[in-house]
Amino acid sequence: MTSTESVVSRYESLNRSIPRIDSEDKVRGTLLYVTDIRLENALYAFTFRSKVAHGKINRIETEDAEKVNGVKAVLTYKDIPSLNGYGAIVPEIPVLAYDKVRYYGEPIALVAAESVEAGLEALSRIKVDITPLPVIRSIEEALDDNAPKIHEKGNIARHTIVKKGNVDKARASAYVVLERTYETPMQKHMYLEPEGGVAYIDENGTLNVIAGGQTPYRDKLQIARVLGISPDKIRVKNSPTGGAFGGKDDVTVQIHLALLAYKTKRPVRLTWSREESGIAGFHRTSSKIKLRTAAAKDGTLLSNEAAIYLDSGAYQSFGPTILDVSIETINGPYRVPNYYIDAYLVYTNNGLASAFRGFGAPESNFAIESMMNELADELKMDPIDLRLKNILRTGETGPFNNIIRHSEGLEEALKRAKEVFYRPDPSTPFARTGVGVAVAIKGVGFGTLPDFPTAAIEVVPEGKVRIMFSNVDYGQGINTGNAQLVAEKLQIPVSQIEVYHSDTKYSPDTGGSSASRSTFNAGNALLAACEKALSELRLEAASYFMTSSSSVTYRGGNFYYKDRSINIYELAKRLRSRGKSTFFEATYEVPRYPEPVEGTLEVPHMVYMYGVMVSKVEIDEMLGKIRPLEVDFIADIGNVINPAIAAGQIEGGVIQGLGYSLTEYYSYDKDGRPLNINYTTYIVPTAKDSPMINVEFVRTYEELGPFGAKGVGEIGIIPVGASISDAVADAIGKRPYRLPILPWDFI
Amino acid sequence: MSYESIIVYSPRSLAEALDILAQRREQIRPIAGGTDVMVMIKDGVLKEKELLNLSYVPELSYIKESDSSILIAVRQIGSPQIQNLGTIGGNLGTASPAGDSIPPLYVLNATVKLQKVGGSREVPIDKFFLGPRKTVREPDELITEIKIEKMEPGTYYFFQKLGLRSANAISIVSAAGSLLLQEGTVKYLRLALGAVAPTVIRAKDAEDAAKDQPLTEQLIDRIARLASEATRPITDIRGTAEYRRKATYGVVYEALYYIMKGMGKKVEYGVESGS
Amino acid sequence: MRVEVELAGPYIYQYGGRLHTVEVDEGAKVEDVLKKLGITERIYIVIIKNGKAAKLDDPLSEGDKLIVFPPVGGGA
Repeated sequence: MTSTESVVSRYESLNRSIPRIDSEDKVRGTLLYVTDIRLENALYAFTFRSKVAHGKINRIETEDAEKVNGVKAVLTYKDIPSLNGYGAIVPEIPVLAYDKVRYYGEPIALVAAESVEAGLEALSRIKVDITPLPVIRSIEEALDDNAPKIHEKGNIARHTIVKKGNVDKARASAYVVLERTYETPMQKHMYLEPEGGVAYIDENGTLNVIAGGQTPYRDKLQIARVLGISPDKIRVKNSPTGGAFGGKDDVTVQIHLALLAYKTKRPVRLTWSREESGIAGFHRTSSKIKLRTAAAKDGTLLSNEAAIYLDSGAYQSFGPTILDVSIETINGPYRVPNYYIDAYLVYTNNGLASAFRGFGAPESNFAIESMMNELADELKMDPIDLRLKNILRTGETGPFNNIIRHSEGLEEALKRAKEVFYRPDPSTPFARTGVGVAVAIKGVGFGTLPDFPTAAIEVVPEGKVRIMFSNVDYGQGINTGNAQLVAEKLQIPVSQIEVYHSDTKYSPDTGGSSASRSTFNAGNALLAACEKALSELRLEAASYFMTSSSSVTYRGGNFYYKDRSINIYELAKRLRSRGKSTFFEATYEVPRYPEPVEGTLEVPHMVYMYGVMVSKVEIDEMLGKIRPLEVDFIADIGNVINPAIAAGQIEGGVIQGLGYSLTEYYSYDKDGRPLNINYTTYIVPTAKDSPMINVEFVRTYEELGPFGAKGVGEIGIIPVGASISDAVADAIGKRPYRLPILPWDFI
Repeated sequence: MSYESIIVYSPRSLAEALDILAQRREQIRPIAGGTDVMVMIKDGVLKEKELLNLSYVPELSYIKESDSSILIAVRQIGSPQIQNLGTIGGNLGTASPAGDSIPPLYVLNATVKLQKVGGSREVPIDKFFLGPRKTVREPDELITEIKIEKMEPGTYYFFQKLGLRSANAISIVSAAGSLLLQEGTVKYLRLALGAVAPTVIRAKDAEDAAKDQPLTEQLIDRIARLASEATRPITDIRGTAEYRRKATYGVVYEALYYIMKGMGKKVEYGVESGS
Repeated sequence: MRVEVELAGPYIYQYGGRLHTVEVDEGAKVEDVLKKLGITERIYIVIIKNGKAAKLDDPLSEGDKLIVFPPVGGGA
């Protein structure tokens, strides 16, 4: 429903752009990020990496390295106590390579030493004998019949077909059928803080791993599997992390740190250099998507045929579920009665692909939204009208047999987009301008995968409410947003709330920060914990007033009975004095469809975010210069908890998407060596490259969400590629089919 | 990444600096702002194990005749952070073909003074560079002074760089020029191009073609074409050779077009003019 | 014979607690323990036996200690 009353906060905590609760420490520079932590007596750790992108390991010699004065450990695969593997879906990524190397920079050995000098000296003395194998650098090469196999099972990590209706029949009756191939690049996250952290064994024998990450409880399980020990003996803390964007969702340094601390019994510090992060960190899957889409003369979509190929790199990590999101979003938010989706996840020797903001959606979005814009051209229709004609309406059955809970926000966003959809005047005699549009859809959370986030609150007699969840605040502002939700629920000021997050020692398992899920999942779990707290405190208040609990009212942190009142902290004191707990934990079951669509692991989702992006660009064809002038982004993210933080998420996503569209292309040379591994050669946009970005939110309310909220983290980046390339097409009359759109591609 | 120890000499006078240089010669690397050298140290590619820190040499820090046109060009270099540290001497010494202060120095007919214990010489800028990262500087010589010609009042000038982003981008193509017009006729044109050949180059054919000709669109097209033909670009991670050639045409064409339309920047001592 | 089983992560809630002692027949394999506990996952599951990674058909002996890890999973 589009409601105006229910979105207004009753207690002045919601819908307000309060400053982030951690901003003072950040502004003062006093906040210690995980890679800033220095432990006394810590060893310096380094990673010995393969200089061959694909090869058979014959021998690893570490004797010379072990002899270096000050070196405390040189570890290879032989030193791994249990499972030599990790990976968010399938544990197939070797912790340390043993039989083969499959990408340049793959870790082969670890060194821990008393000094940096000793560590580097040891690194230089490790010798490996590797027989090189042919390097597979692209999806095409991987799928060639004669291609060498990267894994025993071949070069296809996953293949699935998802279909509905009869595409041949639909196509035969169509007025227009377009067949196009779209390509998107590998993208690096380029967080300001590279992967790193510390590990130590404390006086209780617990192995502490404090490292940049997104999902502490999953990290903990992945570490335990490798060490062969009980997860109970491990603590993982991920905060504060200096940027992640999906690149720290799977394990990076955590297992290496744990292994070194476990073996040496000493504190260990391991931080990747920028270049190491560039070589060995994760990146976004590159994609190649062939589409054949058919429409009737009035613009009604009849069928969509897609062949989706994602480059997973040397191993899978999140590849299988990334492929699912690509499948789910390839039909856009549209009524597509007939489709045939043939999807492949492919192995190459291109490093490690994994999660990146959008998780398969930006890849598919570039294809389907570019296709929609070209269909509008062919049909001589307004591109926004074409969308309005085809979007699924509230209550309709979607392409994956899912019921569309809400789409009125998308309709309103499209109508608003029409008002700003015009071509601006050029500013120089050499410039041409263009306007473009694209629509984004993305599910919130893990679709049909079971998800039971647990969170807790503790009412502290000293006048504070502690809230505890395991999602990581890596800059997106979830600590503030969740504090606002709890403040609203308990009707208390945000200043009375203290946040304990992303630490398996204090925070229950709420899952991680990914999939735009933290507000929805942690928020709902926290609200459930608040309900428990209020119910318990109400009983205590009733006993204090010597009346029945139904006669007691609650307002603004106080319980009232007649002319008497008592606040929640006094009640907490009473409970504590009798040895009762004031800690309340609750688990929320994320609503989901019972079964995934056949052939997928998690399609479809129940709750979707939407975004419409209109972009205006100016192009100097003589110089090959594309300048984004202005972006209007109209989003439906449900009720907006903190408008400034939410708008910041969208602006950040848009700028990251502009890099993806115009300057960023992570690439490898013919030997499989990454070429652009730092900020000098991997070109992320700066503030100076950013256009004016106007973010608007349509007022909607998702009943399943906490106070009507959905999610926001990923929606900003998704439509950028298609929207910008549509504007480029409008300006120069030539449609781009590949991202990024580089100067030498069009002059 | 290299943590090998590096010895840093920080002389307090030019004489002292030249002395150290005379003794250490190939073993020492002069460093001013360090915006390039520090990166080389981090990447482990700096061959010298000693640094000659020039930050505290008072004789190396003056501008005797300031020229506002140069300052305009310098603003497009790197970012404010780079500009605050980087020096023109360093930009010359490091000899990147994409060094952004170099094309303007070609246009200003700069000479570079190289000094050593007991002597000095002046080298014209177009004789100073031998190739990427190579100059005529001998190991015992220090760049101590850069002399530039003062432009005549009324001279048009320009500097334009193309990079993949607006700040902190290494140039894919850069061009600097100066041009004196008399009643619509080109008295002279000087045109220098960066990042399109092993060193910065002067587009002599283009300059010759412009002399004494009326500045028309036809002439601008011819100049831009000759400039483009003068390039010897490479394909690298930042751009293709073909693009560098085409963009050189574009950069030169647009700059001269604005001058023809009276919209170029003009030298007027004391004040800046133009749009 | 009896084997000690520790469940990890969400399995603790799904299968009735963290620590279990499971009685199995002589000659039983790792998979038999999963059956006893009612765990149906076979593909993405990871089992550690006495500190080492184990396969579903690995044989068991009296007093073995197993740690059973659920699929770690995650999507978007």
